[in-house]
Amino acid sequence: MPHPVPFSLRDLSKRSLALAALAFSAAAACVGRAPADKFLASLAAHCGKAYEGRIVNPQPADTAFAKERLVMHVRGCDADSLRIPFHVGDDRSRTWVLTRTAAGVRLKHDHRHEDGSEDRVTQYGGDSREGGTTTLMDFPADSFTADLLPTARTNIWTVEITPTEFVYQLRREGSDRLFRVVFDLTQPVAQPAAPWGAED
Amino acid sequence: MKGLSCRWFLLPLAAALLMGVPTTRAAAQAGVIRGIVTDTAGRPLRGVEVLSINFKRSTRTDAEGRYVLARLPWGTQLVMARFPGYRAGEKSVSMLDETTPPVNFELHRLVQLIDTVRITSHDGCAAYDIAGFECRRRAGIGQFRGVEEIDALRPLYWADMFEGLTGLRRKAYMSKQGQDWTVESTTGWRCLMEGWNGRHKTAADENTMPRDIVAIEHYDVYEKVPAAYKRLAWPNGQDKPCALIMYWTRGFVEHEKQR
Repeated sequence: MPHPVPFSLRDLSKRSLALAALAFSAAAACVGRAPADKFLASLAAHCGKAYEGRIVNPQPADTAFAKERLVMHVRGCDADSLRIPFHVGDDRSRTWVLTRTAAGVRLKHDHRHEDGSEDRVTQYGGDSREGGTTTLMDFPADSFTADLLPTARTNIWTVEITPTEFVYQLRREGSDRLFRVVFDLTQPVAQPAAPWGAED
Repeated sequence: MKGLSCRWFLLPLAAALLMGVPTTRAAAQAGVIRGIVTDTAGRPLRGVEVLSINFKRSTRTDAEGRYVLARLPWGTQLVMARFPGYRAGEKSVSMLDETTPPVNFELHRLVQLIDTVRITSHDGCAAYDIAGFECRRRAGIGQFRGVEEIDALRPLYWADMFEGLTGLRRKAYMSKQGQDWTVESTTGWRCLMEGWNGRHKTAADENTMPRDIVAIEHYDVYEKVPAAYKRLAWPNGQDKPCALIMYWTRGFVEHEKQR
């Protein structure tokens, strides 16, 4: 007398397929979401802290960056966004803004004057390119940037975070000019004053 | 299982070795491009930089204008020859084997319109307009490079724009990201400051790449800096006066034209 089976082989095959499809779509969703979430979570882990950086191979166009103290300050950590002021000496005009989007992460540059008003050139940046990882995201210039700064339409910003370093980099297709600032995450420094236009 | 996976790996490798597939040769050897660089009269040009754009390898011509670019991978190479005062030449070369023919360049000299009337001061020149650049250039105090010369150099790195300017030299630099270049003063800058379009650097200028630059002015010592720019070379709070480089950007100049 054979043992009764709860479902036929045909049923098993259908169920297996359905389960496999479910597992695949879940995995695909994880692959699509996880890097951006983990990337922002890695940054958010530094919320409230400030770090000193240095420019890699400064050029004669980077004298201020080479000469001044460079400090990044991770602050404004909301559920879906982070604000990272980037101070160059006493110049507190720059803030990098990283925001979670449906597809990945958006990088914008918030430039302010000392009185808090917006610079004419501000809010440029772009959305993360497909293929970003939990530690590195590329942000090609978006159409807003192309309209605002036509020459920057092929800019690509890169933000990289590892357990020891935070890197901000700008390059452009068709050029080997690399603007790269590396921050040491192993040595927090005193928190700087708020960026221009923000409350302490 | 181990034996099976090894067999699957070794069999194609052995077959490839026996058949002598091109990848094996490519890995074992490297290509060489040779040639001569002359001016339009056929005179050899010495010191011309010849570079493989896609593989970031460069060399310079000797006294006979000859160059050898070695250790290049097989395939298509984009080769450029550039020299200050000449329009850069660029050629695409298919390197399939050792019989790659010589790749010669004939560079065209840029026509320089030099005004023979020299003025003794540049302080009367417009400070915040590109017109002032030509005025200061005619005055002859400092080093200058205009749009035609910069475009002819086809700058990829920032330092490329300074190639051949009196008192400055490019210096190779190896970083984690590969080879880069920097600029040095042959006499040594006490310190260096920069100006952009006659003023301080702005947010827009931070996104500038070499091909956005249409003119450069270099004042190696503070004493040569035009009066209108002295505050840039010696800002309040700084302990000493500096040398100055002034950049003029394409975006600024075009914006000014529209106005």
